[in-house]
Amino acid sequence: MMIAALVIALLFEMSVAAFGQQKPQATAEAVSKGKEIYMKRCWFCHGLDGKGDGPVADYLNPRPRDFTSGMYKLRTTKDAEAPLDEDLFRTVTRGMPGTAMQGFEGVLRERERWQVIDYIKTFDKERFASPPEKAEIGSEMRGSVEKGKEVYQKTKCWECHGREGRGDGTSAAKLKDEWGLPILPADLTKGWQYKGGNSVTDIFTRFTTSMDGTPMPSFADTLGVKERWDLAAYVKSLIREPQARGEPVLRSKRIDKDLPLNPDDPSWREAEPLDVPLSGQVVVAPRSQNHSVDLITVRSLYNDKSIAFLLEWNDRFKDAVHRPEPESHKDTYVKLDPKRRWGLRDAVEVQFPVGIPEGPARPYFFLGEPGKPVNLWRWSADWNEDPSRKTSAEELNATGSKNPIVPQPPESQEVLSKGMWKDGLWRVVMVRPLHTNDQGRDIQFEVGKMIPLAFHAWDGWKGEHGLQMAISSWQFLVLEVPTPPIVYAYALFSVLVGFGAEVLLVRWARARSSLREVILIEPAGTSE
Amino acid sequence: MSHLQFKLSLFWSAVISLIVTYLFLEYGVPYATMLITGREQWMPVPRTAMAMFMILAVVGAMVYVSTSDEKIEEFREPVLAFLRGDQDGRWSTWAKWARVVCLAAFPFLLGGFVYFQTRLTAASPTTLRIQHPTIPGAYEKLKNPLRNPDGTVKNVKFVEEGGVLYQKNCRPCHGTTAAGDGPMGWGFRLKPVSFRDPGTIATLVEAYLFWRIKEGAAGLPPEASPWDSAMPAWKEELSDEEIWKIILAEFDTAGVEPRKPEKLE
Repeated sequence: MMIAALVIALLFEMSVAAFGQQKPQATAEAVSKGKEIYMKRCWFCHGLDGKGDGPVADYLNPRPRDFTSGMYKLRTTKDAEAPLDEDLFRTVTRGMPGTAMQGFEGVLRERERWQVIDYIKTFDKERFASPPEKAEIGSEMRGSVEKGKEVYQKTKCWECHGREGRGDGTSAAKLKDEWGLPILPADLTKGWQYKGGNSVTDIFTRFTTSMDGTPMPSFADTLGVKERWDLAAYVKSLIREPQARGEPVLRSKRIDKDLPLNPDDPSWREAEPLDVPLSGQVVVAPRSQNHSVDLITVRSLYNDKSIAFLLEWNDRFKDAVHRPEPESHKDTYVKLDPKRRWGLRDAVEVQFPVGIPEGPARPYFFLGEPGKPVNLWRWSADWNEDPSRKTSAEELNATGSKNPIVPQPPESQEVLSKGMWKDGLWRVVMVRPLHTNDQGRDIQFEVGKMIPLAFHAWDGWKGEHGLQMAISSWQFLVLEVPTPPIVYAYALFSVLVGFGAEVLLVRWARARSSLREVILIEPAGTSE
Repeated sequence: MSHLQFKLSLFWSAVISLIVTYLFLEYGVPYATMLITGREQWMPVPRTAMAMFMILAVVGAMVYVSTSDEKIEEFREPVLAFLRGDQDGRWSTWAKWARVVCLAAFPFLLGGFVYFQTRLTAASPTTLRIQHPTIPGAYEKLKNPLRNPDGTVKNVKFVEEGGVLYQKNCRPCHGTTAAGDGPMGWGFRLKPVSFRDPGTIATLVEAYLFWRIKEGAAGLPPEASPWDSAMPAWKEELSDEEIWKIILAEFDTAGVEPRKPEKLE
């Protein structure tokens, strides 16, 4: 009984914490407490006057919300209405994934979060003068993914979000926000970037209410309730969660045929994928925290002569022209110029140490260091489109981010490469012989050894070039060792031994039981 | 209530206890650790510790079973009965077949075990890493010039200016509230430190932070695996005063106090 009571009490507590947000009254005291919190936690981005122009704002994309505009992306109210206090509370609590807005749960107490909301609302009092009208969301309905797909087609969601949902639609490049700045449609396959959360109800809410300041409209009037739940189910089904981050080991599978240079080759299905997360390059200036590529899926195959890698990552646009302009960066982070359009290419790079390390020490994970060089295989989209080139990849060496990255001479260039872009997905294959004559400059692959490797990516559309890029930590590559025949012999031998032992045991048990019966028949008192 | 009780044989009690112990170690402890530490991931029990606890559990069960001859006999009886099989024709068909299946499966399980053990596999190298290596002598004696001798901040403005610097330069990895959860931590296997964690800056003197911010990953000794750390060497871009301001802001943002240097007099 006690336990049951405890469990019920606990569940009640949890449900109150989750749903029962009872907002305290917005008193003058609450507003002034809220201002104190705002001045400690929020103004750096949102500005002293709530205009979204704090000292950090120019480094962020999306930019921090301008509270004087009264526009809020995440609401549960009807189109063009102000948000509910509960909507703001949810955003302050959970943050906005995919942006610099982090959740304050666990740092600000519930009451403090309400207080800061009371203060934020004072930046646009008119907007919050009358209570907003709530949108009809109701409880979650089970939608049909197939029907939702039809709605996605019919409603032309693909015009912005793309045919496969990767945010690569035909009009994606031209979208502007309320302030005339370019804005990108969400990549619906990346569940970790859904600003308002990725539950089916969250998704349903977004296209029911619209998202203020963005081109995302409300479909409350154009689509029926059932249709919207179907669409929500379909959008949810597009989400591809990255593999659980267990061991960061890429297992290269041995095949006894030619390695495929074509990303579409069925042989790739045999290789086990590794999802590699990438961050913005924040190690040396010019740092960038608005990187585009945050996940690369890698596969590898090898045969007796060569090794091949298939790299796949989402990129809304195919950028194959490269016209870099000279630039000077004096800041610690790159200041954004949202209006600027770039003529820069997409590129990807695999990084290896020049030799397989013995012991734990490795070159520095980002471009190595003086005395500990790394070997880079760089594929670039402009080379990929250039028929006069034999390959779209180049081998280079780096000795730290301060030193120039040096391409290897033509006779040392041995990486063959081919890239394909379709529906917002780049797929690039790179192939190189296992061993080369460039000892000290090239990694030499050995079966069964742990070989560090890391990945770099550039999205030209976002202005990424040079050190402005996305980078990964060291991962590990291992060329799978074919199982030697002796292992099978051991296994077979164990089966036989196991069977033999069983036969002996059963015999022994039976012999014992007859012995026991004999003992039992004997009169008591024989044992001491 | 008592009429509902039935006595479980010693053998099955032992087996069930071991299973419960295993499940507790495999799922219970990691879950509890997650709740206690407030992290989002389960914290699995290290395999070596797990093996040790399981061996202890088995030894414990064996000790209990062998406390008396009756117990040994009671424990052994189901095993022997299983091995003997149905000699008196009293078993159900189900039980007979279950025995045959178990006996038949055992050699293959053994073979499979041997195969998976001897097959060559590669696991990612795990290396021990020292989180707080010793501070170099040149930094050891430094004091934050922006604090009064009693530890209070000379001017609140410094905290605010440090806050701007922190939010601009450190927040991307260490997070808005210094919880080590900034959006740029996503791609790094060596996760940014949470300054809210009582085991980090709250146990350190400010000179230590000054060293770490100034020299970054490149200044770490090999036992702290500098090759995996994304920490920049800020001496290239920030002045000493700016770094001291950031330190004030870090403690303020995280809501912790620096450790007071010991007085050796």
